[in-house]
Amino acid sequence: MPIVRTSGLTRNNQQLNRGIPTGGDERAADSKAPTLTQEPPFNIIGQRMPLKDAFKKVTGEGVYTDDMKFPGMLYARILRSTEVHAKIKRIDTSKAEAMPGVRAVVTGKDAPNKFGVLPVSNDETAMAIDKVIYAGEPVAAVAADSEDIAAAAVWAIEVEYEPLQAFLKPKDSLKETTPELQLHDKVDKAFPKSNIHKAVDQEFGEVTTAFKEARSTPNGTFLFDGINHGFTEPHAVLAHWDADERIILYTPQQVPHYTHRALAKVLELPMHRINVVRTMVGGGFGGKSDPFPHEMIACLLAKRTRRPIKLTMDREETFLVNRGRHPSEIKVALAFDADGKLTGMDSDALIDGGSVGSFGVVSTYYNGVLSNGPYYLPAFRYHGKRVYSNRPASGAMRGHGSVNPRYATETLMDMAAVELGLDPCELRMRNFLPENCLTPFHKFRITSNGIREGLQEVMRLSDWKNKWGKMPYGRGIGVGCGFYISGSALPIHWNKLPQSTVHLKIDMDGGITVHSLAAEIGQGSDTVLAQCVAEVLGVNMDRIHVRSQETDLAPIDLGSYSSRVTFMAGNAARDAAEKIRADLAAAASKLTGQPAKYFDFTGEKVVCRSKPSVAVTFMEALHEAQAERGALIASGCYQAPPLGTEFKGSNAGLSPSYSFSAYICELEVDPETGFVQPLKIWAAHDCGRALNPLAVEGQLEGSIHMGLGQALTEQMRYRGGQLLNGNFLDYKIPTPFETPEMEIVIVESIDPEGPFGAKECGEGGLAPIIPAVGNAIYDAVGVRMYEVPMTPDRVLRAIEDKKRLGK
Amino acid sequence: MTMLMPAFELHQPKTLDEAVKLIAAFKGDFDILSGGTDLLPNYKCGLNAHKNVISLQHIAELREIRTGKGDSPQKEKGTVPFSGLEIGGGVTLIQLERDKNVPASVRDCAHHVASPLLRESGTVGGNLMQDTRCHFFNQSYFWRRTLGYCLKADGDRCHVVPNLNEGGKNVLNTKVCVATNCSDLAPMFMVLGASVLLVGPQGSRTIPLTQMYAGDGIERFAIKRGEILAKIILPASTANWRSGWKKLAPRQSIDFSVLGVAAALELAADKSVKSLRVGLGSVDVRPVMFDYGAKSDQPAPTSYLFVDPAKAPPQVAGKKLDEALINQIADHVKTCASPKLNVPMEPAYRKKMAGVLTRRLLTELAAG
Repeated sequence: MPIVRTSGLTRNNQQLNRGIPTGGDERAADSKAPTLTQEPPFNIIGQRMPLKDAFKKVTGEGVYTDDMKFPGMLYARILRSTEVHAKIKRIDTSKAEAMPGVRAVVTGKDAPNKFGVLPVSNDETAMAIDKVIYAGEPVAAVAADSEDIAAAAVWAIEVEYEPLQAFLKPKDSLKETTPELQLHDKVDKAFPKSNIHKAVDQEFGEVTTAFKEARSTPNGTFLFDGINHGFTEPHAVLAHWDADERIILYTPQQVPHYTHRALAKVLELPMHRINVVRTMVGGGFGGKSDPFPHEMIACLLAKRTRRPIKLTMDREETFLVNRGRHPSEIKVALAFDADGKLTGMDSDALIDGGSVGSFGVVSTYYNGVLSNGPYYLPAFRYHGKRVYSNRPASGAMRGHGSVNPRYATETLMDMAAVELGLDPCELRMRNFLPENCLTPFHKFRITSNGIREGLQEVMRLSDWKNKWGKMPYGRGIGVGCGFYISGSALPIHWNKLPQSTVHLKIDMDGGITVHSLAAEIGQGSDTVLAQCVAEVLGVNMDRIHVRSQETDLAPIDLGSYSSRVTFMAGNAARDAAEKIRADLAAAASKLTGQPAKYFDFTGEKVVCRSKPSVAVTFMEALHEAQAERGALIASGCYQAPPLGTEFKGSNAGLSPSYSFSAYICELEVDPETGFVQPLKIWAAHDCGRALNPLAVEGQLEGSIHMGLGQALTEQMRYRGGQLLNGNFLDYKIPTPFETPEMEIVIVESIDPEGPFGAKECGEGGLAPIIPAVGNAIYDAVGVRMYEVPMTPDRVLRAIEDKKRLGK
Repeated sequence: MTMLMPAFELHQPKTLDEAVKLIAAFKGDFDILSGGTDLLPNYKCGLNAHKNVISLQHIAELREIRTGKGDSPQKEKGTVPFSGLEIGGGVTLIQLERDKNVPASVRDCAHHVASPLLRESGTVGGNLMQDTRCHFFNQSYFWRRTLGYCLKADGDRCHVVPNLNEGGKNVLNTKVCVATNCSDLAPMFMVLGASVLLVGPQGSRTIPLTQMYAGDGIERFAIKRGEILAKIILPASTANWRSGWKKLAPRQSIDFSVLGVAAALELAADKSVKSLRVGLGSVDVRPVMFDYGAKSDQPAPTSYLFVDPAKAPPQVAGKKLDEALINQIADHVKTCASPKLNVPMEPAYRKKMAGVLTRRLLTELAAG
């Protein structure tokens, strides 16, 4: 049975410590060392510990790409399209090239090879060739002695455009058009003359019958504005083509491996001549997981000049690179029987992909298939289309593809509850998937599932039963649930490589180096790998040094997206550590004469289980194991098991495990102004096992804060094809004033396959907050919100419509 | 790509005299910096930057708040504003909100400007003289170049009210910029009857704050360019009035207001209204004030381009400020408010909120 644990209010003042230091004797005497390493109680797993890079970050010691400086370094600037959709008739770079201090100018023709994060939609080039497809697209770039010179030089480049009809409404992109007006030559095969990037149609079970026989069929069309990740660090890269004819790219990447592949394609170099170095990442949230044109541009300029090139963007440019959540129009109907059992779902999503494919094929699937949980769904129909448009590209963002449809379904769940006279929490309880099951059609393998316990706990904590439907007008409480993948079970690039590989090296100094390409993007990737290794080897955290930056040094890992790192890289780290442990156990056996299998690793010692007086220190075992061999090294890996079924697109949504969340939000609505003030959030998330509860709480608080932004204030607003609010004054990320108190409940369902029982906690915790807010607004003032964000003017309009129309 | 600070020469005079001399010498090619939280972001966007920037930061006399010497004998006549409180133009917003001599409503208003960090830099003078704002103006060079430059910077058209400016002419035979004045303090000071001491190359003078602003988003002031706002003078006559302030902004911190409502109320001994002023910010090219207690037929000085003159103001003098009267005033304010689609939140919504916030504020003031 899952364990439910409340960590207390998250505005806690827990004193931070620097992890658990390698003990002197007095510390060792203090500790009541547990006896087993692989089963609880654990030494390291489950400890609240600050992230390994936290102190560097808060002291300013951490080096971000823009902090770096090399001798002879040049500064690059990108000329961006001032047209929304246009043919490029002519580019003349001669005036820019003639400017003093300008060292190189490159244009799209210098690198025509296409790339993209998904092999199925390689539709990007480093810079525009022949035509531009959004205002802000890179057209040319300059490297110069200073940023000022480069900035002046880009505007000295003459570009003659011939404007074309722009596609700004997703519905326009559905229509047949001429090849000239197609944004890309490759579109969905079923619609060859359109601007439809990807269409997905799935139907399983008796959908029509379900609706015919239903007792309640809530439905609605929901509109979502696009939103941006809003990470703190703008894009910044530094490239150097060195004297050894190798290119080194410093980039704050979530997925260095995909950039590595894309660079090889664009630069026409073998991968081994490229070293991608991930620098400290100032936030990613999915927005730094594509290989980017600016990465290519920096490398092209480095190749041309043979000098280090730094390219740092401003906030507006970062907004224009975008890859944020898709603007969406989602039409959903649910069918329920008289008992409140969900019997069918019919959903239609039109999502605006913007200029390029990015992760869009996956997004298109996720908008549908990730509605097959956390509720048992016996009939499912989904039509999804992602279109190209002349706007900055949408892509992957925290909760990728699941967030907007989750709002729709959770709102409809609430409507059904009202119609059927049921408590919305009770209705959800009746529909949750059980543990250890397969979903009927996509065969999602649900292993551990603590959603019931989670919902019960937040109901109890929030005093739900005395509040829902019982508070005065203007004050309301609402619920939202969700689930999410712990890593995609199938890799983007089809090959036989494991999805995560981790190398360990221990030499006589006793330091343990963990090599991985899982990217530390602030989520705690390095820390969790270190924890897994330290736990297995029974050592303290300060022995563990994680090197997760360079493709030259690290074994391939698919990086930090789809909430895969803890589950996959964590398992790989554990696997590698277990191999080392076997070596150390053999050494301990040799030193003590006890059989190797009897040894436990704990408290920096290797202890005989049956005779605890027989023990060697970790260092003694290490030095014995190193005899005539040198450093201990091991490689561990993780590969998701074969999952799912066999229909087109059946891979989408498959994961070795799923997280579950249940949130409750209490808020106040000002019925005269439409302003919504969240008062408190109770958030239960089943993350399998919290390897580091401090980090889990941080992820959930962050998810809630980010979700509240989408729920209430954040929207990418356009004037035609031009982004109107590409800055942090006009793009409204909630401040602390808008952020309520949160109470985080960690549900530990102990997953059978996750490392030490862990599942994801970085993304799944975002989606439920938005419908929890929407449903609480309904409870407060009796209106359903069909547009997100639920801005004051929209809320007020809904209240006034209700008054006027009486509905 | 676009956000690099353009080169300029920074001048840091130590006295007002020095500053005035610099202003005279630069013949228009200058900007006055008093805090810089508004000016410098605009410079980074390449908006009307000048070669010389004159910082007022080191002029000590501008950074003082001084109380007056007692009640004014001229109070009854209501003509010359008496120096109840003199606030230097260089006083920071933090200083203003913390000074116990400053009326509570002003302190509250100052406290809700931007964020603590910005209030540490931002000044009273800077807040009152800040540039007007518009979606199509407060953008990067790249952005404006893409859409086409506007009247207010580098161009000759308006993206907000293109019809009003068709062919470079409008109904008044002149170009009109409708960029919004978002000063929080201006309406607050106005309803308290503030005047301003201006110091420039042509000497110094004191005028009512209401007369400082002009009805255009580009030609924002009715004063001469180069006149430094040296002091805000709050008359003692309004010191005992009930006053208050409400702000509407998407977020509770950082944001410019999209609507500000200030009000000041003077009650007679029998609790009937003697004077009532309502100030509005962020709905027009300048802060607007309605003086409902004024003796004239029109609530002066509302003479304003976008105010509906047909809408008769309610008569308030001698009446009880009850719910009905409050609603009448709120309705009048709402009718007259004419926000444009050039700052966040829809104009229709902001217009409606002008009524709601006015009603709430007056209800609070009436209750004491």
